[in-house]
Amino acid sequence: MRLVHAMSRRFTVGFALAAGCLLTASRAADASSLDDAVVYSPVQASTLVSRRDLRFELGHVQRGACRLTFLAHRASGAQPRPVAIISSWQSDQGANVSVHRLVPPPEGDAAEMNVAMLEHLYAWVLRQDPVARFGFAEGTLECEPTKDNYSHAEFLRELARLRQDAVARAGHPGASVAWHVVSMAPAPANRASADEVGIRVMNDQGAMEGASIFFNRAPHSGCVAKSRQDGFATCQLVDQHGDDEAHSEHDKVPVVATFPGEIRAGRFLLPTTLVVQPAP
Amino acid sequence: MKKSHMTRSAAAALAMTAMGLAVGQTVQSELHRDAATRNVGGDPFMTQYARAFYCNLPDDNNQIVIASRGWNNTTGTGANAQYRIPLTQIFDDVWFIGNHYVGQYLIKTPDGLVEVDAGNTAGEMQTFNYPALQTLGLSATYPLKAVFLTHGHVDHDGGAKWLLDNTGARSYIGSADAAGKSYNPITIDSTNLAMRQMSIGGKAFWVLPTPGHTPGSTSAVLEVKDWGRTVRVLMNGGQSMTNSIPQVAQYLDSIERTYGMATVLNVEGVMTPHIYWDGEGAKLDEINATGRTNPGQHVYGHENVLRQLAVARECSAAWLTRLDTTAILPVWRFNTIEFVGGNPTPTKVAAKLTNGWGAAANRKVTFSVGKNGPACTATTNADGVATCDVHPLRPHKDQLTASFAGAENAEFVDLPAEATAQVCSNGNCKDK
Repeated sequence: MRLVHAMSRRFTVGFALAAGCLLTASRAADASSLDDAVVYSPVQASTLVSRRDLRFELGHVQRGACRLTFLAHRASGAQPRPVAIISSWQSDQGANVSVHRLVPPPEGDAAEMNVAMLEHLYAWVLRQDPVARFGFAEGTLECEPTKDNYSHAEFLRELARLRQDAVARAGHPGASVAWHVVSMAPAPANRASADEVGIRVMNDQGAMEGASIFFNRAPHSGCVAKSRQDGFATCQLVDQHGDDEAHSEHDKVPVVATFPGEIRAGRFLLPTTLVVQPAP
Repeated sequence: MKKSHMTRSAAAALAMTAMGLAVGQTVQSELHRDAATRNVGGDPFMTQYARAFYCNLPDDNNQIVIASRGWNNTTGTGANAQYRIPLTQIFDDVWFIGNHYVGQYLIKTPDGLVEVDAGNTAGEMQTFNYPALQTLGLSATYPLKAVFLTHGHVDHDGGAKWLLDNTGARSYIGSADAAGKSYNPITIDSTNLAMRQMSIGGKAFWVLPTPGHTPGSTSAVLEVKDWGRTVRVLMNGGQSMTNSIPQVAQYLDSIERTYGMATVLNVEGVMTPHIYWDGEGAKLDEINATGRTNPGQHVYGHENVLRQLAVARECSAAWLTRLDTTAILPVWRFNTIEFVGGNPTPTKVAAKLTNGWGAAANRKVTFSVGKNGPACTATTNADGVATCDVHPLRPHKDQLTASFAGAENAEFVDLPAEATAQVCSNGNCKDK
């Protein structure tokens, strides 16, 4: 039977590149034994990315408990060249992600490449476990703790700041869409019900009204709320699968709030998350 | 560093981005919901079940899932006893037992029994499943050899410990769901996303880790017998999504890979633990009311299995793009191809390619006789029709296959389609 060729880009595009080339391209001299072949596939498209004409791809290598993800730019007719290497691993404290930014590849415009890299990183990090800890790695691509210890929301905010700086350095900040950070803070907890959840959502203009906030609690409880005029969004978690009685330790599980991103009055409000730890 | 000069293409890309920001935010999710509906192809059964349940969250219709959980009767008593389903034969070698919310599959092999999932509670296993296994011949010489657990939620493994303790069987579960389990399962590596074949209790399973519903959800394909014919059936490792971007992204990826598995293995049937999700509950009611049909009710057909997965993919994409409005995902379009005017003849070879959006124009269709026989490729016209001249064609001897290999761009993935028919002298093989 004929194999499916077109069901997904991941099925159709991809080629192997010896990881030694990656190391040549990177500054990570201490990772000497990356023998695996990296198979690249195009990144998921995102409205976060200004220059969608620049082709970026992702490749992965699993080295024991350490997963390396390569974000690479692929110039026309050329091999992918990594611009960032992301390591993900589990420690006793939970999931960890560190991002190692590489020197922008020489081809094309380095400043714009830097902007694109940060935009792709934002899109990629948004899809990672929001309960993980994040940081920037320097000089290594191994799965080792970094000096940073950002939450998901903090790391996204830092990427947004770096991206705005990079846009300014690129010399034509007006040509790129301006990003606006949205932040969330926990609302006072209702101790009578672990299922009642709430946050307050704000942007640089103050409390945000009408923002959709998605709440999630493992394994599969959720609810959606619109923020009120004062920015508060609250709702009652509902088990979406139907076996909530089987999960008796709800009051020990964090709730993740997600703001999905929004265009408002021509302003691009960035998607973000907030991890609300259960009340002690 | 060289000062930047914006190229014309870069400026155009930025302009498109700004436009895309405004458009993408509201359109993406609705685009995928609409695609899920279109991919149903007008099938009322799929509309009532797979389309409704896979899209429960993007449709803002989770109520149908919550209502279904009310059917989860584990005792056979009380108001919901009506939702219990007795031991029901669905294939020559497979029986279902459970309720209208969730159930288990009991598979007979030459050397013993294999069970898929282990119910909600020990009591459920003791009251229903153990006697059912005895009915199917459970004994010291015909043991329960293994229990395959689709994932680690309690409605799937709540009775596992009792079942294993009382039969001596071993259990198998995705490694990412194995932590803290009291029944000491054998693990299937959830970090290796590749499809592979493994023996579970002597029965060959093609397993595919499909995280998303849980980290350790595992889907599988296995061969069963339907009135003597070998049929491959799909067990979906876990349905229903959460409000978590990474989990829904995994779920989406898992469905795409499941589509790939169902395609390459030519899957024709379904055996899903949550039978309300894809209409298997209605099929079981039909079996118990009027008996097994030939082919059996759980043989949905290869095209319908794939169509259902394409619907599921679009529902997942609709939800992911609600949770992350910046994500842009191409729409999967499910295509069908059929010969024009009945069977092909030596002088008339034409096939029409369509999908939920209408005729598929400007697509390449290849007509071929076997692997090495004559072949011809043509492009579909505005009506979706490709016409070719294939020589030689032998009426009543040759089988002609029309195939579309698929196509894609940034907006769409047009899924492959294929149809095979016998070549006739005049378009009607009954009149030689």
